[in-house]
Amino acid sequence: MSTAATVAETDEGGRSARPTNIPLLLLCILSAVGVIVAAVDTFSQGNGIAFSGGAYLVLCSTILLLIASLIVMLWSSGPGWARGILLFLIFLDLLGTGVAAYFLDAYLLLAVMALGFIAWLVGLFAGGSRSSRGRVVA
Amino acid sequence: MIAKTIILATALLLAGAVIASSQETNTQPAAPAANPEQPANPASPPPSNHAPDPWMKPDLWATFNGDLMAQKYAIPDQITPDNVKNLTKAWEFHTGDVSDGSGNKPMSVWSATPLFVNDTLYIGTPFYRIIALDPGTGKQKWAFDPHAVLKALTQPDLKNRGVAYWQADNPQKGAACQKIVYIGTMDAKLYGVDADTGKPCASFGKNGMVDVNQWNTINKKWPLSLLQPPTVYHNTLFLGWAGRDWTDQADPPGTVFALDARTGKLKWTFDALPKEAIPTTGTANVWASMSIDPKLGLLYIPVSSPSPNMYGGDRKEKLPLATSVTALDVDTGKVVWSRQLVHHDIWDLDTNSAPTLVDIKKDGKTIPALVQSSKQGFLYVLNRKTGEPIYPIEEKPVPKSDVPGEQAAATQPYVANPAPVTPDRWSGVFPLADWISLGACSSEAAKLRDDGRFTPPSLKGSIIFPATAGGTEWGGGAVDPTTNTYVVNSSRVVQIYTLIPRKDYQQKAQNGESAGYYPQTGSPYGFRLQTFLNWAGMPCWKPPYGTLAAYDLNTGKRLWNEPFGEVQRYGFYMPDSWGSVTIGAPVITKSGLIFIGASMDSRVRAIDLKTGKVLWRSLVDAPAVAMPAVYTYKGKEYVVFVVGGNSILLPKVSDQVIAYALPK
Repeated sequence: MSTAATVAETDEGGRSARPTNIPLLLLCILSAVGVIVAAVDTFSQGNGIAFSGGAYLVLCSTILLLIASLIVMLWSSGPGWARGILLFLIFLDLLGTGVAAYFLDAYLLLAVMALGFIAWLVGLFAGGSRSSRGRVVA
Repeated sequence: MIAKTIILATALLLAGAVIASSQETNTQPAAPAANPEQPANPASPPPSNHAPDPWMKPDLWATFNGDLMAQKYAIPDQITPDNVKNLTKAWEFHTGDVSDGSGNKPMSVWSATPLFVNDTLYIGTPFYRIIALDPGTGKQKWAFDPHAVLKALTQPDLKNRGVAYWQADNPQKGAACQKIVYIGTMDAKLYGVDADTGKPCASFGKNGMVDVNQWNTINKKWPLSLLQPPTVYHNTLFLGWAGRDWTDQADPPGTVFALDARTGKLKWTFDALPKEAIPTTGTANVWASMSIDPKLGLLYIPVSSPSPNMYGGDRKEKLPLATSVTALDVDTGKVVWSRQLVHHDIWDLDTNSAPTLVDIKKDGKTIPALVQSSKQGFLYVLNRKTGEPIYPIEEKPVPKSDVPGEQAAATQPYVANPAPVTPDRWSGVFPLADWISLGACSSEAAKLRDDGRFTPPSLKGSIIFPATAGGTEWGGGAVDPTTNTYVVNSSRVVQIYTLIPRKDYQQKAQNGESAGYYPQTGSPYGFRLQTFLNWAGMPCWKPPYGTLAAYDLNTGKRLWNEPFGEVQRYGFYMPDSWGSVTIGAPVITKSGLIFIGASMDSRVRAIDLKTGKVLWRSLVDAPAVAMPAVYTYKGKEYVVFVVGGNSILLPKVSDQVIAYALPK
């Protein structure tokens, strides 16, 4: 599982570099996309939800999601329990933002959260946790 | 939608339709003219030497309701149930006349039906300007600005429901003001401008303006706000007005004015209240639109409730024309017949929309009928010649008042067929709202008086359903006269009416309590009006909160009844099955479509007349609380919505005019 999930980056000299967790990377990217979509939803007049409390809520939640995803991805040396809590909070954020997006009829954001959830799941079961940290696999 | 309902438990806190009462009241004078002590009954119909004005052709949208019979029926049939899914925006226009209330202007509430006539689209704005648009492109032709006072003189918001249009039977080319567009203002000024240029008509009133407040002479407390455009027929403008409800016992008495369309001179007036009642009451005015049967020469007026609206102990004399639908002779203003819809109204159940006129077929006969929708949810189907019921109206015993001094009517008119648009009892406590409020909804309900329809206001608080914000609002219904299918939107709103003895009321006022409290100054009681919500603003009663229904008028049978629209709160949309409180009205097209805005969710929709299913919808900038205009221009059918919003639904306003058409 971790073979597919975690790849080592090698530099041109063939030296082993920092390992990258692809699911977490994907989650970060999707979180960033979520922030952009939520921002568009929040500030685009005429979409039915612009400048509403719900739109501001998902904007904040996607920003928090991005921050948490970055921390989990970059903070590979952190204690396992802290990463575990963060991963759980990310799950709650994905779920809450997805539900909010559903009720806002913000279906693009809902789709992004669904993809993010898949990335989170894959990361969880495929070595996004401490057990795979530091291993270099190609 | 079940998913939404379930998930709601998390999002729920956001739900909640803030529903306030929608009222416009009234005030007004008695002026010079014939005004008998309203016989609740009959004279005979005037001789039928009448006919429709030749310029008011059926393919136009030349009046507020589309036509004088308030059918809201459009004959263009290019857009059909099969192709409506392809409908796209043809053009969009923004008037600039909008206020969210955050500046020095009150919030705007814009419910203007655009008029399509004279190859032009005319709209009135909540800043009381008239704007003429090209019907095919939305480009502005001209605008007229009366520089009206933009203050909340009678209503809490700046309101406008559009303009009226008149033209001479044989307009002289090159002469000004052969065609006139009219707009009223909150401070009772009626302006008439040339329909081709937008310049004031010097011959109309004084330099193009009639000050209707000149006739505001009895119990004068505020100006007679002209928010509803006049009804135009045979060179005459029929004019009602709105005022301020609930603040005083004795208000200006309801008067309808008939003015010469060219000069603004008064032709006749009609008063709904007898003179001897005036010291302790008022209003019973006509603040909504009216309808006319040109052949019968009858003007049908929806008469509102008298003041004070929630306590009638000082107006126990019979006021037979209050809260009625009444037919007047268009030439004289004399009452031909009248039918009271609520006796001794102490619920503010104004008759609030123009009755829809249609000929129905029953028992092998064609009967000239009218359908009067109402806040109380009944659909009264009457013979429009005589006022007699076509479907039975039964006088049913109703609960007695326990308020000292009050004497509620012993019976009230009840209509079983057609089925009321709102049920007889409220739907009960909504478990979700109750759970969120930790049981507050159910414990509050247990404390209140609740004896069903027409439970009187009480000192401990009464659950009122349908209440002043419920049933069908000022838009009324629409009818397809080829099939006699009648369509009407409605709201289900539970409200709490509590009368407060004067001493206690004054104490509360001194304590700074004001929200929801109304003084009824001069009467022994002030009152509190609440919509039954929990702390989160969520309705304490079970959904649906609004429906759209269709009836076969030939039998009275309800064909379908569907939750309509979606509640939106903080941006979140609640399940379809909950429906939405609605303000606005439907339009029916010959091709079998219903076009309607009206819902909280800022969407406009096309609905299949046969099934009630939504076939198309489009997002607009705010709730579209005006009925649309449907017309054909240069071979293309357009559906135009004014999108203004209404603070009763949401604090969301706009100045958008949007036209839809099929792509080329």
